[in-house]
Amino acid sequence: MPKTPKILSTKTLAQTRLFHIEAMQLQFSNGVEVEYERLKSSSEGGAVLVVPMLDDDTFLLIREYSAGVHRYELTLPKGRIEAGEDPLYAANRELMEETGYGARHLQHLTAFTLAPGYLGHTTQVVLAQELYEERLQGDEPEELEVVPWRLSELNTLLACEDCTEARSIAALFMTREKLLHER
Amino acid sequence: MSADSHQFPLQEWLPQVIMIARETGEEILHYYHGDKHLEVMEKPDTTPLTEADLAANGVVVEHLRILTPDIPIISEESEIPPFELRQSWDTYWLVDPLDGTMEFIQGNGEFTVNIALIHHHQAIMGVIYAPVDDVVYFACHGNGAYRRIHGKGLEAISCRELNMNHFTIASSRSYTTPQIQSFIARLDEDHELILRGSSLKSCLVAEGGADLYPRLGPTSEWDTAAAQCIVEEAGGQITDLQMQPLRYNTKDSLLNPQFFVFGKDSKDWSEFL
Repeated sequence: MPKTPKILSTKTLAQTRLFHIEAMQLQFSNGVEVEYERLKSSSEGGAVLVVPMLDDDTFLLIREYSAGVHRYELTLPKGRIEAGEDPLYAANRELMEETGYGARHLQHLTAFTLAPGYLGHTTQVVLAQELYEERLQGDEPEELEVVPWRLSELNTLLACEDCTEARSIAALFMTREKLLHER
Repeated sequence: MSADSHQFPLQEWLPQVIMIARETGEEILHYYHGDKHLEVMEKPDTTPLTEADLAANGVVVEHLRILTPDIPIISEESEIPPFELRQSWDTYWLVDPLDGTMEFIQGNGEFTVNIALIHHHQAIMGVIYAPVDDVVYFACHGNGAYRRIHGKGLEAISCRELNMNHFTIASSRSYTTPQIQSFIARLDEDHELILRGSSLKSCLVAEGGADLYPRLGPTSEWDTAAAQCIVEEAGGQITDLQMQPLRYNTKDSLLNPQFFVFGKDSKDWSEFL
């Protein structure tokens, strides 16, 4: 593997409440210098995506308004990890806020990036099992619809036009593989 | 462990103490299932105290007095004798009739009856009973730790050996602090987390379901005594943050130091504080 390019300098091109666009002056190991741009991750802890298993086959999705595409999307529960918060606790908190369930068993599965070419954001994927009913008040503007689905019917879910989020789809396939393997 | 703990017929008492824990649990279930009216009051330290606490206390204290009239009792729900009096006690029962009052009120079933026999500042017998699932954990000094799950026979339990590739932390459902989270963050990035109420977290370590339960917050001696005997007999330890085993009735306050519960071949967890 080649040596990681050296960052010669960075500067902020734009900063809003959510986004931080940064220019990086880079020098590659062969001496070539280039300017790249990236969206820097603004939150310290990143984000967490939860796969909540109601039983061995049934998982929970939420239907949430997604401003980026301006429509309701079926996704796994997710949210920001607060500064200093353990990702597994963050997962349980988001789960209680968005679905009204807490988990007694939480397990880190993997970390995803989305478009690592220009996005600095990382999403921690957490498998949540042994669910029980518990609701926490979150900052969602409206109550979210919770949609149970079966791992054995994942292909039907992919055919739904409102289930397009790549992280959720990848996390569900990983979970299905893991649980099949464990059985 | 002091050698003269064998002056007591621990093996003979143990089944009777298990019976007492079961009867206490059955009393609690009358309130839990709503046969008896439940009043939630605020204790001076603001933890919710229910009538179930008091009723359970009545049952456990009465039966322990019959079993051993000469051995004094310290219970969370009874008046605590002053240290000037109890410091002369070699041996006493240390009881939490309803550990996990929050779990009781929330209705998740993860509360327990805890009975320990303390001798020379150490727990030499421990019984923990979870009435909702009808599970009992018990141990006495030198005889190993056991579990009986409803519908199953008696099983010997033991802590598991630490394997950082499959590292599991037990933690509180109703209680989390920034200290716990930053401690966990320093330990290891990849871990599983199992959330349990009451002394069931320590039982999870004793039965090999978790490697570590760090408690970086306040608890009282009756919260850990029964668990300590069970965990130690299962091959594990409950220590303060200097990795020294917890001791009982050594000071005026009955508050524990912060502590770790862990299994076999463990690490010096204090390095991660």
